[in-house]
Amino acid sequence: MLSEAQLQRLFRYAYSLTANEAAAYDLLQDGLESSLRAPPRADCALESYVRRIVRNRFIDQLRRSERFPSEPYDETDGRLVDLNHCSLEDLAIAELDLDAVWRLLHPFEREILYLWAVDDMSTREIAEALDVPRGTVLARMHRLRRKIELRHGGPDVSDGVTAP
Amino acid sequence: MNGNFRKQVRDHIEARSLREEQMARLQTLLDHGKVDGSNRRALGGAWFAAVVASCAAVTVLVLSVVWPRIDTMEMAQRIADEVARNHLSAKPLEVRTDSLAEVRRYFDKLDFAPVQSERAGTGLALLGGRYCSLRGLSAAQLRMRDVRTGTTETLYETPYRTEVFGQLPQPAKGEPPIRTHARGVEVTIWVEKGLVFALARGADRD
Repeated sequence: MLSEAQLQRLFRYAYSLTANEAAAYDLLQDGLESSLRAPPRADCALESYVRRIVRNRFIDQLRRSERFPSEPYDETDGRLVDLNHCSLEDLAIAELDLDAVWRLLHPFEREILYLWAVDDMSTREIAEALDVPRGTVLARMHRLRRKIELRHGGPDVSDGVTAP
Repeated sequence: MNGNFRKQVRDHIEARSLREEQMARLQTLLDHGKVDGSNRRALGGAWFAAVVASCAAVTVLVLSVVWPRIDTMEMAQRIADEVARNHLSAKPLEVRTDSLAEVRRYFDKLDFAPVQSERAGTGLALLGGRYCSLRGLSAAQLRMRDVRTGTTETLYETPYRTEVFGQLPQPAKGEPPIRTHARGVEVTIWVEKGLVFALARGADRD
């Protein structure tokens, strides 16, 4: 059985993907119904299992709605990312702007922010959780940072990207 | 400006919470299905149906004590809200067929068999169905197309339990169905053949 705290965590995770509370609720309900029909193995933590279903369902929905972005998230446009600029810690953004920025980010970028800020994961842990190379996570963080800084007129982080 | 971006993001996300009624609905859904990571897969659909049925019975018993009387219109509106939300979200069908017999075979985990309603109207072509829930009870969702207008309608069926739904109209007893609206969707609710029917039609879907 999932506790209230676990359901809230799952809801917030779904929100990080959808950027919309109503859609997050639908996605979570869908995930729970799915887990009822195909329950996890006895050795599988239920919360993680539902979270995985929620993620897969979300990706399916994106693909079906043809809104799945073609942005190459696993690449860095043939350039190397300066890892020193991949930290998000020193980003500064006005409190009210986060709402607006949140909706502009790619779902995978919001997911990384969730894992980083709420689950307190390192880039290595995020890479393991998402089952992608650490370089992919760093590339996504770099894009995320760049989007935020460009929107807010911050320093041009293209300096942090060097030609191979 | 606030340099603590991690805290800002955390605060932003944690400001979002399931509302009380949403939490209650999800917990009811889980109670009926008993998602607990046990080896239900090996035990099969019959065990699942038995657990759903017994949990539903316990829930009904509890509700009959703490929730003895439900205002019909308030309940109808709750049903309409839930049905309209699902109708608009248009989740993908799990079985696609125009055969009711095939749909009935697909819903083998329910403790009832979806039936053809005499009140759902004529000129509707069955498109398929998917599992869903209504007021926390397992339900069948059937999607149909109005052959005259081309619009899609969604019909929900679940066993009628007065302890859960209160008194809903039964046309067989001369009571007219309830017609209400939620989120721009017209929802018609009635009881027939021991099942609650909720038909959603109208409004642009995703």
